[in-house]
Amino acid sequence: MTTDHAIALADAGAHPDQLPGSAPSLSDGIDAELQRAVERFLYLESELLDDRRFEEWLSLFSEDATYEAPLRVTRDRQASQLSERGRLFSDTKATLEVRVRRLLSEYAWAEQPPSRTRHFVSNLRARLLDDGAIAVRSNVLVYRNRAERTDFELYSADRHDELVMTSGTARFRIRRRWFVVDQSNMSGDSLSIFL
Amino acid sequence: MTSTLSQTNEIGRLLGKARSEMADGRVPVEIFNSDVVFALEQERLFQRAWLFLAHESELPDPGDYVLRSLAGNSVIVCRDESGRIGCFLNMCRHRGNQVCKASEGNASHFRCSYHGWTYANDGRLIGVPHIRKVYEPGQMQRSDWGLLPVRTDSYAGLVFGCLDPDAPSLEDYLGGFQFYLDLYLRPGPNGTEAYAPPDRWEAGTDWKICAENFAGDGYHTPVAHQFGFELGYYASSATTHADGYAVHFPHKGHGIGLGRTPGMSPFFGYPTEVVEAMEEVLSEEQLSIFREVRTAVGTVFPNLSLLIQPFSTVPGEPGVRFCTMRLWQPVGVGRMQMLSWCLVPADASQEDKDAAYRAYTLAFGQAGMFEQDDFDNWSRVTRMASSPLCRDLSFPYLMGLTRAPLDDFPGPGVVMQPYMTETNFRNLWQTWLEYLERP
Repeated sequence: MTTDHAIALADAGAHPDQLPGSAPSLSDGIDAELQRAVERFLYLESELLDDRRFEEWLSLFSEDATYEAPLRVTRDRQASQLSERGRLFSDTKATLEVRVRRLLSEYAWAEQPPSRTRHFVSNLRARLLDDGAIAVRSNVLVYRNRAERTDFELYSADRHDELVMTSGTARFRIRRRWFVVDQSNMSGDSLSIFL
Repeated sequence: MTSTLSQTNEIGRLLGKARSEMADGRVPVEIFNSDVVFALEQERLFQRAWLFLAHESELPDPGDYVLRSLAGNSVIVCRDESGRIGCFLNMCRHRGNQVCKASEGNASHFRCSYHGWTYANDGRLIGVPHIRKVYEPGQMQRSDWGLLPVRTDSYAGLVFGCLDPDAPSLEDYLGGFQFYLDLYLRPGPNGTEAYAPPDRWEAGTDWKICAENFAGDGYHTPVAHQFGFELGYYASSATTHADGYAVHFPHKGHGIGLGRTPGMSPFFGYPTEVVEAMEEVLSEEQLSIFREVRTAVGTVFPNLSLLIQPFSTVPGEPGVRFCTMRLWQPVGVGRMQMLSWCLVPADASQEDKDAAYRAYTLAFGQAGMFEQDDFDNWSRVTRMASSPLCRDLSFPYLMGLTRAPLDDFPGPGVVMQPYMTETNFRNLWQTWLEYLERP
């Protein structure tokens, strides 16, 4: 990763709501081809979720993957708005698999009939990590509607993924997903979908 | 509540019907989604009952505060510089702006962003801009205009508030239910701590459905949470799930279900150090009951509930005990805000606390697998309860109606067998009605 013409977009001190070491920079070690491949991967992932192909979705995670979502809290001024310990999700691949098995059972009542979701992924910022993995920060908007209702939920989230390259057709596996929903008082009876 | 004649008649009709139906073990459907009931509850129940505010561990240091809602009032719960916890209406006494806007934090004082009146974290008014220029000498007495205090009291780390100056003490209000609350709140000399801030969300559910469910609805578990049995989650099976006890406190409204699994090892799913700590602080009578409890699910009337349950993060693994505490707050007709905490034993190791919290997030919280199913059911109940045809319908609350309570149980309260029964719920509704009937 070159640092010669690095253009820092923010002060050296990262915003407290950012993952450590994720200060934005235009010098990211990612060429256009790799950027496009990362985008295609995340679009494919969204498609699997929206099409409810949960087993295939799960296969995009590496065996040691974590899936984590800190709670938002409303705090004053410059204090971090992320709970240090509170989590909406605190999952491993093994517990994600349990959630998927549940969704595939007949007894996931909150998803009977299923939610209609549409995941919109944008503002991709990718950079190469020292170990060759790719850190991707993106904005995610998820629309969710159920049954005959006219109301819906919109979840906006700041998502940080770490992707490792593989030789498979998907090219990547997710080894870490970390996201924060932009709401501290959540809407919707339950969060029975993945972001 | 200003009542027109037709409203008065409607209240009379509703309460009269509730009384006569409850005498026969039935509860009118319409109470679960009614603007008349909502207004009456706000005035006659939530203005009078002791309501949960905060866990003391959320305020470890002087100046720590959380913003909460008490019977529809925004209130600051704050630990002052001397270490005392107080509760104040979150309103500047000058023109009514909110003096605190964050849901948690630390502050030595609260300064209003409108005209700058400033209050110490014990509620005293300590700053009035231009006081000597704009008021005559002696005209503005700062001591007259402190933040409005709310009566508070606490039990085992739980801070409650009450808006009724004539209400009995919290100790009287709990009325012996503390014996069972100790299972959740006194798992050792240092009690419990809230692992993290509460999950918060709003749902299209009437709060009472949740309060009732957590007063010991063992009946719903094998169906509503059937996936748990299917995936091999539970230290129980659908055939033994009815086993155990239901305990209630007449005219207090509190109730707890104690589910047991025959053959379960004592204190199943508790870390060894927590069992030893419990044995240190709890009575022989308490230990003899708690030792064999698998599920303990109870409601402190009206809207605070607690659950302890062993749960394996992955089916087949040994269970981990987690404890959730939840506040079901009405925010409108058929609408509530949920606050859900995970309580962990303060004396447990960090590793055990972390494991309990992970189990909690999988099962409860807005994305929890058990929570999802509950709220889906409850919101559908709420929607149906406003349907015009429901006005003449009631639900049956007949389980245990003619059954005699146990007379040899080591704990207080009225104790019924089995765990699956509706005696706790009849007591909840009876108490609810007693509050609503009192003008």
